[in-house]
Amino acid sequence: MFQGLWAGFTLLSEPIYLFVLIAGSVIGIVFGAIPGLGPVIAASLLVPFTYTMDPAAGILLVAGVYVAATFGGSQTAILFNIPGAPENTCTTIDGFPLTKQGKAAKALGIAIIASAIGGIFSSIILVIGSTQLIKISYLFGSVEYFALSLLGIAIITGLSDNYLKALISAAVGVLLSIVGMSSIDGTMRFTFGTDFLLNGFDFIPIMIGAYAVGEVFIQVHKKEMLKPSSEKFNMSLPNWKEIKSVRGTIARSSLLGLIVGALPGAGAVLANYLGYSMEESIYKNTDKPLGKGSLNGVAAPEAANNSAAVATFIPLLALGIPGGAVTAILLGVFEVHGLQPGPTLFITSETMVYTLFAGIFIINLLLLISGFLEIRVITKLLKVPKGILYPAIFIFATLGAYSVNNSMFDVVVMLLFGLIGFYMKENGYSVAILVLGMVLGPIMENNLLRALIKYKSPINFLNKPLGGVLLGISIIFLLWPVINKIIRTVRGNKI
Amino acid sequence: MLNDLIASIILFIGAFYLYFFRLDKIQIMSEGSNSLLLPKIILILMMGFSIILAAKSIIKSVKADKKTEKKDNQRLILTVLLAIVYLYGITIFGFYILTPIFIFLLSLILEYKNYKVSIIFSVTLTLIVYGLFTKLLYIPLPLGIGIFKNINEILIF
Repeated sequence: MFQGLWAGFTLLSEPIYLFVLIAGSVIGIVFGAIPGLGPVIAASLLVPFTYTMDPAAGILLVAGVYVAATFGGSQTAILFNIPGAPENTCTTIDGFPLTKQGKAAKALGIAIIASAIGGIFSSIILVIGSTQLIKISYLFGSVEYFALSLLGIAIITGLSDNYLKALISAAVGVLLSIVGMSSIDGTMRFTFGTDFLLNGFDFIPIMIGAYAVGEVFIQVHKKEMLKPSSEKFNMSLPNWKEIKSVRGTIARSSLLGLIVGALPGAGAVLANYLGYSMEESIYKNTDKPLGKGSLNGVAAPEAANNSAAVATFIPLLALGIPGGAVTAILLGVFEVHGLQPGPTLFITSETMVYTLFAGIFIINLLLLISGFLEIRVITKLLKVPKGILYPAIFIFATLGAYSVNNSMFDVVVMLLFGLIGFYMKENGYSVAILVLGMVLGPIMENNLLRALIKYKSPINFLNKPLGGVLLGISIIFLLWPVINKIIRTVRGNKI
Repeated sequence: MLNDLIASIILFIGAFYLYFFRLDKIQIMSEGSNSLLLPKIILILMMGFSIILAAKSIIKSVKADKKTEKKDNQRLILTVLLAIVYLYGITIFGFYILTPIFIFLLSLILEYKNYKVSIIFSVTLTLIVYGLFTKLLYIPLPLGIGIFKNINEILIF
């Protein structure tokens, strides 16, 4: 392990990799900071640039952008009460009151420190955890992989705000993944006789459409879209005493983020909410209560979301199961380069895996530097007129979709899913769940069919202890809103 | 809530059509195959979900408390139409002719009034795309047909 890591760090000292890391960190922070863009759009727009890079550089670029963008969104959350990405929603609760009190730079400073520490903590566990998980992964057969992919969908669906619409989003995502030739026996499903659908939908144009183009349509639809920001900020950074006051918060939120991120389907958005909720239940300082401009209220969600963002790489690398939208994109980048994440990756591409580990660690260190350096630039960037910004996003989205197969069909798919993504976001459906359903669908189906060939009946799946437990947990999560309602009703009747 | 009702109807019709009119047309490649198992489960679930969604939207519409957020439908429709024309037009007029025009027109729709900046930006962005995609990544972008293909080829020498 240490030899591999050393090789990874050595490789990263080469100029091209350093450039990729710095570029990823800068692009990520900028995309994260611009409301409506965020980590997923940043990652999806960068995919075509990774095609001609060597695999490690391409994967590092997308991974770096993801980690940096998860932090970048905190800047607008703190300065303007607008989370740059859903991953930073709870950061607004205390971040913006701090800005109103003239402590914007203190809040930004704490957000940078909390994000970097959360990310570094998870990167260390990523190295240890992934290699340990590899050992456990040998216990995984088709039943366990089927159960794990179901768990990924179940967690994100069961914990969603709108349960029914989350279920619909997941079902549509899985259905889209079914289109094309079955990889088990070659049966053509829903191809409607067209060659374009023989291999099914490529999920990158769908992702770019639903996220980037859909977001452009949403912003264009808003009446007040065109107002640029004109605010000025106090730039004094947090002192040592203030940093010390949030160390406990950062520690527990980083641990929480790690656990949440490592579960497939949960991810940084949920970690942001849970990090803040946990702090609410623990925090006791009545002089600076949460919600009124407490630095702890900024540190908790920011440490949790960055820790979770890094932790989502654990199931991806160790088991080949993407935990969220960006790791799903990364799975696509791996596949473009002929690599398959999972236990065998550690044997076939060991140096590449450890380079990725080392890179994620360094990106989090870079956040500390670039985060502080970029504060002033970001506040200026927010003044870029939307009449310039959105046409540029649309062009890059078009090129991103086109360059997957050099095909205009993918561009048409992108536009179609831009409209579908727009509708979904406007009406409370989840694009993230649709994408996750689409990515986990083939893993789920292939393993279900293999398991059925081997064990004949789904009832026999329960004879596999690990698979049975995972299936049980999946069903609990999937039905959680219903179970929760029943529990509440029973409790209500008792009172 | 009307949106939910419409969505539930479309979803139900789509799932119903695929289940009852497309599944039986699929040719199974091996005996005893389960390749239609997941599609069947998902389509049945979708029909069920759409019925629940329709019922919920009807119940909610009775006690709906509609929040009115200001929206600009005209701008959205113009943007979508321009995007459709642009993407269709690329195959005829080529990427390099149409892209600067599209960027300029979209910035007009988005009420960006500084025309000089808008023109410079639309040309500059096209040049950046040319440098990044054509020269650096070797991705051949559509050059259109007929005389437009010749013009595009001249533009990128």
